[in-house]
Amino acid sequence: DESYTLDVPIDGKAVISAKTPFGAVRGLETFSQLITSSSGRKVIKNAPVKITDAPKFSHRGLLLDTSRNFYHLDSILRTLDAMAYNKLNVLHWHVIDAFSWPIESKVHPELTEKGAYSTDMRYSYEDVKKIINYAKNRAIRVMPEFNIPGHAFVIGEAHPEIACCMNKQPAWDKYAAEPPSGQLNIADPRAVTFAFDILTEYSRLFVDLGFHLGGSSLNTECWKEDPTIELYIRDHPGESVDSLVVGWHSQMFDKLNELGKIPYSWEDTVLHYNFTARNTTVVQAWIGDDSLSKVTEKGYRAIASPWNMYYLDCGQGSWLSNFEGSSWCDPYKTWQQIYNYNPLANITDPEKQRLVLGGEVALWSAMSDETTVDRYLWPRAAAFAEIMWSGNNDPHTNSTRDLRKVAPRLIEHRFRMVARGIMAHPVQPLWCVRNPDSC
Amino acid sequence: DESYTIDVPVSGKATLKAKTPYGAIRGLETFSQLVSANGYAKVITNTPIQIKDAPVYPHRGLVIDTARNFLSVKTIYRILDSMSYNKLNVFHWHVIDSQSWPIESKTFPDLHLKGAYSKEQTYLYDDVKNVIAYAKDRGIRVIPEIDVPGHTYIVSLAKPEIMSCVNKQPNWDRYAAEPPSGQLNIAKPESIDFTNKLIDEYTKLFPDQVFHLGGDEVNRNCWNEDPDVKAYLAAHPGEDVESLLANYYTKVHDHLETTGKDGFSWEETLVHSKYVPKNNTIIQVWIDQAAVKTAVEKGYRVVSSHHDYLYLDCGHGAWLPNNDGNSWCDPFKTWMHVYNYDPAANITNPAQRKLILGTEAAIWAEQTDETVIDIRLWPRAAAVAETTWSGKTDSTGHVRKTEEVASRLHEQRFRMVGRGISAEPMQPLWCARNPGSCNL
Repeated sequence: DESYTLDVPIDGKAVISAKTPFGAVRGLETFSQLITSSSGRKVIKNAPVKITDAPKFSHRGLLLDTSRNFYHLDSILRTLDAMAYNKLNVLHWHVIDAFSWPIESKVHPELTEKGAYSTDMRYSYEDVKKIINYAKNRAIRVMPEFNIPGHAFVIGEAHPEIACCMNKQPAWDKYAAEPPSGQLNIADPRAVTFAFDILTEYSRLFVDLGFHLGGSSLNTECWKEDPTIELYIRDHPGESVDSLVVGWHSQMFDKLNELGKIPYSWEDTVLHYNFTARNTTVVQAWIGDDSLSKVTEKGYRAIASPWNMYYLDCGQGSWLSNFEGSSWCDPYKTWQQIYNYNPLANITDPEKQRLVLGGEVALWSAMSDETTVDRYLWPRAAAFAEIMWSGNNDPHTNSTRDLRKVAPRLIEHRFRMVARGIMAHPVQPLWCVRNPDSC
Repeated sequence: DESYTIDVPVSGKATLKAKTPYGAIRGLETFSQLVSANGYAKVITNTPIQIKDAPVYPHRGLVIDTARNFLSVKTIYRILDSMSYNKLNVFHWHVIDSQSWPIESKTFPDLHLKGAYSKEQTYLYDDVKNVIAYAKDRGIRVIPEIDVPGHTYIVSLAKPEIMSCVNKQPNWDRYAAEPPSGQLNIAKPESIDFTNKLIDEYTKLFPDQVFHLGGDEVNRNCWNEDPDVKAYLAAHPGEDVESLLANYYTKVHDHLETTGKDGFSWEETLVHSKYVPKNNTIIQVWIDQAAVKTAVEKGYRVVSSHHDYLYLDCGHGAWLPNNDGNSWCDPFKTWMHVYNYDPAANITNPAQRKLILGTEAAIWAEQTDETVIDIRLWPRAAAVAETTWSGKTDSTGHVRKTEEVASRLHEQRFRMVGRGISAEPMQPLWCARNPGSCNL
């Protein structure tokens, strides 16, 4: 419960009332934004002010990929601050992927030894606890994602015995969505044991109830061409790569439930495979305009992060060195597009709408690191944050808020964030900021 | 002459030779790049090394816009540093535009007193001189641009009487390429006088031989519908807006000539007006690659800033709030696309090729200010810098492919980050460390 009320009389004390500390934290942020300067003094204008506020969605998140490129602790903490300025409440930490394994493992230290980009580019247990605590003080959950069994090249570097199609070149695109290719051998019981080790270790380190299992972009060719899997399928008529995947997911989701966590996963697990998870599972829809409705049709709780609206890394073109064209998810998502988008647009049944917990914007880091993180996230994620907290419906007109009225507020917030040390990108020439309605 | 030679023996002293100090500066930059870390020591590997180097194009620049959004002097210093790391040698300072007039004018102080975003967001004469000196120490020329007669709304805050179509709302797009609308009233001799006085003032402040007078995106409706212009044309049959415009250009460029400077202007002055630029005017192409050919065939020197390759600000969507689509020049120009640009494409005549002085990558500032300037410029401007210093062809005649270039550009990107420039990453770090593994 993040609701609060804020009462600012004409003089005297302002009062924040909230049912939980989380509501109080949200209220304090709003209060900080009421303060403006007037000839060098700090004032609150238009008093008395009475605010009754509560979020539209309970899951308002930001995905940060720290595997493709590394982010030192200070940039993650700064991102948490920026999230707090926008009342975002979930840091979906996509901590590992094919490219690097930066997080300490006490059970499998070889993963970090072989998989971190360098000794300096690591997250120790202490770092992780620091992040979790810093986030908690800002009423932000830290939900980890360990995306298996795909995206596993870096695991294969430490454990080649449980990996398939490792770094196929030059035709990596037959075996993976991005280079380097590599997936866990889902027919090998040692891979299952390994995965259980990971789930167990990190379920303890990360205190959040939610644990994201990944499951996106699994490549069938990779497994089909693996000799041990060919053998397995031959010896087990009736089974196929698909049934192996379903078997894998069953084991993983059961394990997580056993560990007391709520499994989160990408839509691929339940929409692309004949896999049925418990209905406590939360499914993250990212692919199609209809993904969210398909997920809720199956009765799962859902998070909306459609790539064509919420993938903030898109628009920089392809990162493959010999290709001067676009990336798969171009063009750049503008704040206007993000603001105008209603994630519930394709879901009419109110029962199904209730299953949508919220959404997430994502910063995939193929072309982003500490030099760019602030600029790619902000202020576009602020536009997203308003949709998640307040929605984009203007109650007075019962239609989407006019972007020309939103722009000045977004710009004000952008400058507020810059003043607070976040390098949010500029939205317009300063002249337009000062002459609203003229641009 | 920016040529130099470097001699690094296996042991002893390295020697740098150059005909001019500018060559020496370029050589020093190369030398700094030969130094790498080996454990805790600094070494130069692969000695002995002999380098003989000279640029293919003499004009290798950046257009920096400080009018749509302001850039502090400190930021400009950092841009000049980053340019020197890439042997870029022209800082084309697009200092004023419709949105603000940050540069001090002693002739018309109201321009900056009323037109700058704030007192702090102003370049006083001392600031300008400091920038010019800082640039000179790095072998970088500063070419100022006073963009006239379009793009001049801001002048209306000081001299409304010489303006046309000032801030037409809401249909500014009938009168200008972007809001706010406003152009110098070319039917009034006072506009010419105003421009000439600015030419007098700024040709003294900026020592470079070249002075840019703009001339892009002039809107005809703005003048056709202006009452003064209409009255003038009614009283002068045989004249029209085109002849007035040509007359304006003639007068101001004639005046520029009296200062001894060479003019520099956008392609519209050559291909979209009745005016015929002087022989020594340099034409800056931005719209159409064909304009490069037109210009050199007529004997003009050309600098290319072709928008589809060299406009580095593009790719972030429209900046008008009620437009959730693309900007006019999207998509984002990737470094590979930038690297593949050849300003002399389709021009075979050697005499004409020689008239192509080089390129300028531009960073228009509608959606750019100090928070993002580094990541927008780098490392993509480094890709332009290499193709204009070294060309795209090896000594063997092989045309470099981007996958062959990637490793070196990665290295340069990390070098710049190490030197305090927030150049953005090109790929996951894994790809930088495993060259050849992240190709299509």
